[in-house]
Amino acid sequence: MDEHKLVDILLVEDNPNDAELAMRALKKNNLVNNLVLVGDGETALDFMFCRGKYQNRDHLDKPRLILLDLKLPKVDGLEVLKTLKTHPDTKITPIVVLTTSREESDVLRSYDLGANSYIVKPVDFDKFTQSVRELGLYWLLLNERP
Amino acid sequence: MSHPVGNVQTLMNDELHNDLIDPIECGHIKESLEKKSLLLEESQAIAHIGGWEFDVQTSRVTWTSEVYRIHGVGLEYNPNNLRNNIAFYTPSSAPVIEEAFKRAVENGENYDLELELVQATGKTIWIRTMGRVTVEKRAITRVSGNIMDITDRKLAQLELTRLNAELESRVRQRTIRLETANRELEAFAYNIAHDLKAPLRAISGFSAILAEDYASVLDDEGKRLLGIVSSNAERLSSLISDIVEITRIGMTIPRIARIAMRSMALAMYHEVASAEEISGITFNLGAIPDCEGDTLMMRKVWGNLLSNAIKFTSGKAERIIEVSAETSDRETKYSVRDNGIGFDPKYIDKLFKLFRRLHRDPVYTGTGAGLAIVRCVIELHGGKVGASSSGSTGTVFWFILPRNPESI
Repeated sequence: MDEHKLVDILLVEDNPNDAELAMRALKKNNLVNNLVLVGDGETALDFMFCRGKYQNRDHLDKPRLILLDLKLPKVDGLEVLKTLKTHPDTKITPIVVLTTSREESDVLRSYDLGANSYIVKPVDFDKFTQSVRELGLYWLLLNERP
Repeated sequence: MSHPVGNVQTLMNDELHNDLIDPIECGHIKESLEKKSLLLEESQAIAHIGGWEFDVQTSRVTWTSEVYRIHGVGLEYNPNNLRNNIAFYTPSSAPVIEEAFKRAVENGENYDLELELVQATGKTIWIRTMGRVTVEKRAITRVSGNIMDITDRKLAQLELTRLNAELESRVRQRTIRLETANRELEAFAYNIAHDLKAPLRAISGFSAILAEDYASVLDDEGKRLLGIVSSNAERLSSLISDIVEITRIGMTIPRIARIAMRSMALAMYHEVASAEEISGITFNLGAIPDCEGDTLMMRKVWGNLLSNAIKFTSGKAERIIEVSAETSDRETKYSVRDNGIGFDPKYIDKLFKLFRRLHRDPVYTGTGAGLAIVRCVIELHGGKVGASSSGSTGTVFWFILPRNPESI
């Protein structure tokens, strides 16, 4: 993936199978030109704040959408959400929580921390593709950027 | 002598008076007094109650012998020095008795205190001391009272307090342990759900990809087999969700609030029924009363009962679902009636059990957790569930909720 192009989506997902399914669903719907996949919360924060291996990244190049799993190694999803939504440089970037957890407390906590949307990953692949398509359409095409 | 008679009379009166206090009689009275005094002393000794008196004018203190015993001193002890008397009390009790005694003498306030006193022998005992003020001609003339040894009672009481505190702390510890165990179980259920679903999603997703990308090389049988793989993955996923849900409900303490049951039933009907079902079903919702319950849990009750009614009327030309209620003083019985396929009454015991399904027909989908969830919620609310079916003419599912939330 060419990282010099503007990033459309930052996908934060530790499960490579889930990541592959999500990317396939997005590509199939022609929703993504440049997607960056990171496997844990710490790397996600490094990417957003241009730190560590992303220190040479252009600060102004913010993804148009972050798809965030909640259960992540190192820094967990809620922590990533909280950090990004409280930092002035990153708080306007839409974050869609995309997770297996239907846990009520996770849903409430996510919205409380500023998540723009909360989607439970369905097991059924057709439903999964449809969910990804709908969220991509909305957040990348319909929604006006600030 | 002008009034000799009078003098004589006076004399006679004196003589008469002397006659009354005849030495024998006097002895009797003395004896009786001594006897009574002895009796008093004895009963005081037995009851460990002493009596004392303080004469305000003379500042003289009188103790009965039990008071000496309570202080652990002999009768040679002189109680007239109040400082010395107060010095018997422990450092925490001394200022209390000093203040109370001062207020009695100066303001006429009675007192009744339980204090600690160190006997002359060095033994610490608990005493109850009461002071009463006597007022004569608007002046405080005397403070008198009792002092009793209450060590046995007090120690028992302190032991009881200690045991109670210990019991409470033990209950607290157990509660904390139980809550921790509950939280761990909940986290376990949560992790199970998460960890089991990810591979299922891969099974479903990658078999779909296989079916799509390799459609040209797969024959119909190959596609059918892949379909079985993904539908079973989906089914296992529902089972996992249901297990997690029922586990969680069983561990939750209902948060009781007033619920407008009629609006909730209507809202849940519209949530579980599709647009076609809504137009095809006659839904009669009676004026059912409010209840006291947990909103989220009660939504599951209506959701499950109504979706069952919808599901099992699906084969009928005319589909009718009726929601009604009957109220008595103590409880309300809510019923959901449908004219669907019904069930054989001999299987009624199995209806509300987890994962028991009476209909193997694939038309009637479901894992068999719905009614188990309904039962779990209603029982958590102190209620009952039940059902009856007249074979092919329809079915009633009902639940009873107590009207008084205190009984939950």
